[in-house]
Amino acid sequence: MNEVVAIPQKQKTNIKNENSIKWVAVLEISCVLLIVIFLFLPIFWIAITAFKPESEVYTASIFFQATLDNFRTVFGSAFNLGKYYTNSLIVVAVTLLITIPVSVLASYGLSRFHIPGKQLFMFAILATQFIPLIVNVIPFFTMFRDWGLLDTTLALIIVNLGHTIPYAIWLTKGFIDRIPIDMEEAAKIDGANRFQVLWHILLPLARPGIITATVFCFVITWNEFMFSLVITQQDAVTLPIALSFFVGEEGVLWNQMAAAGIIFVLPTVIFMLLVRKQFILGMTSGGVK
Amino acid sequence: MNQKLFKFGLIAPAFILIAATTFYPLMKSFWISLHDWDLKTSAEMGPFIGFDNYIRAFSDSQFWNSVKATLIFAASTVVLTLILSIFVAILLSKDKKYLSYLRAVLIIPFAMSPALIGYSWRFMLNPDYGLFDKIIGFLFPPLSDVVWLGTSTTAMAALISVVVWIWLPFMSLMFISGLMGMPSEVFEAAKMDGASSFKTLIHVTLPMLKPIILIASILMTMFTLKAFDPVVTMTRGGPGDSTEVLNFFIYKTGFRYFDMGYSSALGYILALITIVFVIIYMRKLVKGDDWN
Repeated sequence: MNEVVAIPQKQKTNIKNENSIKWVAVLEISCVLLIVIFLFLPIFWIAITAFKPESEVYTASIFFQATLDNFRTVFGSAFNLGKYYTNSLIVVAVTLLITIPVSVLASYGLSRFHIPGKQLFMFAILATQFIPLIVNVIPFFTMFRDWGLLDTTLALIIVNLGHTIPYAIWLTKGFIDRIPIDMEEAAKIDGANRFQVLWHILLPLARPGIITATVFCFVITWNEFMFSLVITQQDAVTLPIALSFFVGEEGVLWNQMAAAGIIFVLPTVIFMLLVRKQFILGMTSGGVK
Repeated sequence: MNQKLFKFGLIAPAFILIAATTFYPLMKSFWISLHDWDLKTSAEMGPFIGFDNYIRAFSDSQFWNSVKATLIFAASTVVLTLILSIFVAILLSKDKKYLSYLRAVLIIPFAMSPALIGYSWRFMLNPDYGLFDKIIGFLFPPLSDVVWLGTSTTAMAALISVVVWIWLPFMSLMFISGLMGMPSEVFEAAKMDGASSFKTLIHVTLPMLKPIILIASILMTMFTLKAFDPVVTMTRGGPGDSTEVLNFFIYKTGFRYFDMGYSSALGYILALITIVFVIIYMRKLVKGDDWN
């Protein structure tokens, strides 16, 4: 990237000028440092709090005897983090297993074939994004109550699908639109049937888009808070809501919440780092069109 | 014939699922919004009352309070995030090794759960042992006695800071990809002409970023108007009702007071507010001649 802080070239490099370059560099580095502190200090602090013994939690100390006790406690019978982790995993896994194949097929159909009402359909799913999700939850809440589905992972999966499928279609359709149709034609001429074209030609080419959509849906479902807050009570509670169990009568068990939190965010952070580049691309080009 | 079956076979599952999980509940809640329905007293929907729930909102002082909170919160968050993320992007988009490492990990805050961040902010703003509280008190001694989540202004500021923190990395990355895709000749030319760095920013960089700025404003506005998780985990609308943004007010009406009809109506009002903002941006977007 170019130096945005431009130094007029007509001026001759004299001592004064060199000095100002130095100052600009120092200023820049301090700004970068401030940004790093602002963005990463909170994460760093959560991370070290997770390893702090009870006695050190309420101090600002960085040097302490690290302990794994907090992790042991949160997975113990009192908090049962394992159960909530399983709930979250089930909800995310089933949601993704339905969302991704269904959305990829639909994107392919919408991208390659003439379908009456196609534009209207794409506009309608975009328009639903303006309506706050809580409007979605209200009728579901009353229906699940009637059907006895409140506090089940099935209920959470159903509500999550309404959130993830529209996103996944928009994200993958943008990618599939950009794949040239020639290769599919060529494969057809060579005698491949439609399913072979889909499996051997389209899927490998659309992989970056599919990965982006998967990670995006993974992150929003994993971190999904409102549905879980409304629909679950005890049995189907997922991780974001489980964090509130560390807020008790006598205050908050910060070290244990931090330990649970670190284990909670680990999967999304890792996945996000793996597909960072495609993700930004997908959000900027495929997301808004 | 076979072709027709194939193409409808492709989209049918998605269409059915979206119809069942999105279109249907949205229409159903619009229908609910036209009824009086107190879930505490009756499991069945009450009498049809037309648009009374919508009219009711206009004379509800709590509604106006939350509209005010929402607008203050959303406007400050969007403006702050955009300015800061352009600034961050300009700083981080230079061709230096250590910056490329930083760009690689910049997405991490965005992947973190907003609920966890909300709780953590509460922890770090605690007046007795919070890290942020200590740092602020050290840097600005007059502020050392402030109970951050205890007064309406500071609680709102804290809420804004959380949401800015959550979105800054993602928005910065959008601008970074925009800046790094720009032809470097333009900046060379500006330099040759003796433009100062500030002038280059105003006359070259920002106009070229305009399409991304518009997309970012639309996305940020949509996200902030719907903000929920950090409000619940950090301030719970308090102190009083000073940080009770609309989405939280809707939740409270629906799932604490179980006034389903009114809650649905409020949801649609929030949708309308969002659409008005997006239309304003879209018109700007269409007007902008550098947009294809």
